[in-house]
Amino acid sequence: MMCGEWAQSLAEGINMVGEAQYEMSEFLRYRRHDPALLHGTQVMAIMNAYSYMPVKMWAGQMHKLNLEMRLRLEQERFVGRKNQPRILVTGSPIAFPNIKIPLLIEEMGGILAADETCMGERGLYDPVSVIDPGFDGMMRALASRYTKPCTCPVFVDNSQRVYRIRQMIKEQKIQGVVYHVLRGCLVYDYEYQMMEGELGKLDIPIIRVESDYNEEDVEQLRIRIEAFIELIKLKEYAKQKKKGCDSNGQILSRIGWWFHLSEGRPDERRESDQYGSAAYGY
Amino acid sequence: MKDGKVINTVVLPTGIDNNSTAKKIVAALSKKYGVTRSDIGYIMATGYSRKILEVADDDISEITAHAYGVRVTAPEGYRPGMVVDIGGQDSKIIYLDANYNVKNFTMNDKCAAGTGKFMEVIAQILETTIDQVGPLSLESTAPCDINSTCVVFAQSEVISLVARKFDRRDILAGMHLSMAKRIIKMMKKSEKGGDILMTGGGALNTGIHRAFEEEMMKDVYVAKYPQFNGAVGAALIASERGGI
Repeated sequence: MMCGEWAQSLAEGINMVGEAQYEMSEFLRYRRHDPALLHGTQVMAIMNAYSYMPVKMWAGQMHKLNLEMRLRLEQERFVGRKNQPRILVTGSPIAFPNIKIPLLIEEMGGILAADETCMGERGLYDPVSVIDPGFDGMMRALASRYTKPCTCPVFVDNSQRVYRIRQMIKEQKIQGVVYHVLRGCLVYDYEYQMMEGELGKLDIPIIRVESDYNEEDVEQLRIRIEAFIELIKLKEYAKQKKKGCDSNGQILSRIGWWFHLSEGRPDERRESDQYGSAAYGY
Repeated sequence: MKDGKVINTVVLPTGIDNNSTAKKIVAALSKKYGVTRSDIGYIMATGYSRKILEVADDDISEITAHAYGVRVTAPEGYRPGMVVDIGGQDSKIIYLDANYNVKNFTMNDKCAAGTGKFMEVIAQILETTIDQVGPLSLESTAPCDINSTCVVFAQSEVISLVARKFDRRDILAGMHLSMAKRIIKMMKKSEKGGDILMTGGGALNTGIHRAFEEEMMKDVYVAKYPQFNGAVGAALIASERGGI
């Protein structure tokens, strides 16, 4: 009798998370769009909210957001531009009040196109697939969902993480990877060397940034991220020069390319972007 | 800068009003060559206050600026590889590919270890000036061992060496070796190939140059205008953008 009640409530729980997972997978489709429909920082905050909100409420809000995304796509209301360096963030979690890294990436003219941290889509990417609807079957489904596909480096065999990052790079057309290491979060630091080698094979630049929840290292992070984004832009420029034209088939002179890249001084940028760092006091 | 050649350089301490310091530099240079602001094609800012200078048309990060500067300031025979910049408050290593493009970089700016500030502090204790530090250390015959890389710990270590009556020149030589070791630790083992070029104010110091050569066991080049390498690079980018 008791067992039946548990099974009922467990099934409800799995369905509830399944709904959230479905909404997120829909959302990821819109997120893939280039130019971007939503700032990566906002996406990060949305994914963070999953950890702080009741699941049902989050799924409901995600549904509304997906409708808005569809509208934006139809009306071609983009927040990003073409040719912005597309950045993937991986490594230690970037939890809500500490969002200086995504903010800096977007302030410096990049677009945060993918997030592989554990506050991102990782927690919801795979659904719990129940084959046997009995209590035992559901427990098995939960166990295999929450231990097997998890790409956290606390697990010994973590080749899945490299696989997933490679997949994301291909899907989202990533041009650079920011590897965030939270002070004291050592497991990610151990994997950095391996990741650097793997991405080196793909010719994707990677930068390791170490930070914590303080605000005092914003300027230090800024110079690193700014230089990293300039590095990607110049690399892209060298590639285009080899081809002699950009993706639209226009011939780019060197000077033209530079103007193409410059997005105005950051103070101008900050004013135009209501979600920019000024709003958060950085 | 004109036609890819450096015309003149000016250095001033930033002070607390970086904006008017920048204006002063532009005014001084314009007056000297009898030109007005409109004759200058493009002004590019780089370095710590680059974002807030009103005189500048745009700004660029130091890393990109240094990598560009090397194209002009590298001595003959230098094969692009590693650029070691020892600045006043940070030091960085930039890895270049054969076409002088930035491949990767590492930076130390969260602490003063391995920076010009380290030299300044030690020079002050040893009652000498920053421009004497290099020549004095070259006279050393038996460099002291300084284990601390942290400025504050090294300071007390140096004071105890002074108390034990060690020669000033030996202490300075030891300081340079300690700095070189600290910076070499930052270098990536995976980035090989090419030569090492030193830039930044630190490269003016002959002592640190020798310490680097000893520690690396290979030739280390010094850029033509070490202190202005970043500025030259920014000027080079400005001349590309301004179409000069």
